Amino acid sequence: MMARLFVLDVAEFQPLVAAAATSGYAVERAGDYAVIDSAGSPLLIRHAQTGMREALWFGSLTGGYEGRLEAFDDDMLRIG
Amino acid sequence: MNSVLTVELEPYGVDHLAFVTWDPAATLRFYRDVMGFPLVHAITARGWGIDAHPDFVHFFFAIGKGSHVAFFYYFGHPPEDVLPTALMKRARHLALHVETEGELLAYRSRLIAAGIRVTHPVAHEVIESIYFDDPNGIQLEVTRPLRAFDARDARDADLTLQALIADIAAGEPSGAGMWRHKGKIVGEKLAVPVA
Repeated sequence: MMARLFVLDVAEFQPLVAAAATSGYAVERAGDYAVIDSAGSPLLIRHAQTGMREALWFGSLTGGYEGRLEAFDDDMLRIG
Repeated sequence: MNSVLTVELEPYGVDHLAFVTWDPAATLRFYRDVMGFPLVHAITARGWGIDAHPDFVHFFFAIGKGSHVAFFYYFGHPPEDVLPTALMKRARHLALHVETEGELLAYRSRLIAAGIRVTHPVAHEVIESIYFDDPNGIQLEVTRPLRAFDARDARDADLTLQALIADIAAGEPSGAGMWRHKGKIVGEKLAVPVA
């Protein structure tokens, strides 16, 4: 299983990257993106962890993902 | 080579965006008196050119930087439902640009004082906006930038459109499918080894 999330490395998405890092996921900067890699386990980020405004939170997948999208709602983003 | 293709062209922005109104009095009151956009031009004409084109009035409000919002009023033409669904109405909107939060909130106060329903400011990725309707049912927005677009945004937008087109071509397009295509495109481009 592989779960990776690509996040455009711009100011408004830094709370998403920070929440992933706080959760212990590997974060690597490459090109225009922060690459969040859950190293074989499911990747779970909760909306509440990020403090992101709703309109912004629901754009969290804009950079794309690898894996299987299991949940993306007001509460959480989970990629298995 | 065709010389038309070698000329560098860049538009200067919006000259005018045209809508239809069935209620010119309410439209004038809203755009001139509530929004404060000067009425700067009005054409009145006999219907011409196309068979059965009605006589009309075409009037223009200045919205800054040489741009205008314009309306047609057609004589003797019954109102048509030009806004078929709520989703399409929200989609086809006109967003007016302001620079500061103060200006955004001032427009909001002005609308509220005129008894017009307006949303609270909504902060999106790179803009913050208020939404409201004009008397014709046209959705309007006043928006301010939270940051400027930069080259990363343009590069990412190009990859997003690649992903969208690929997902549509694959059949049964969805948000999840588009984001998966985007991940594939970005992953291949970055070539970052999986942890």
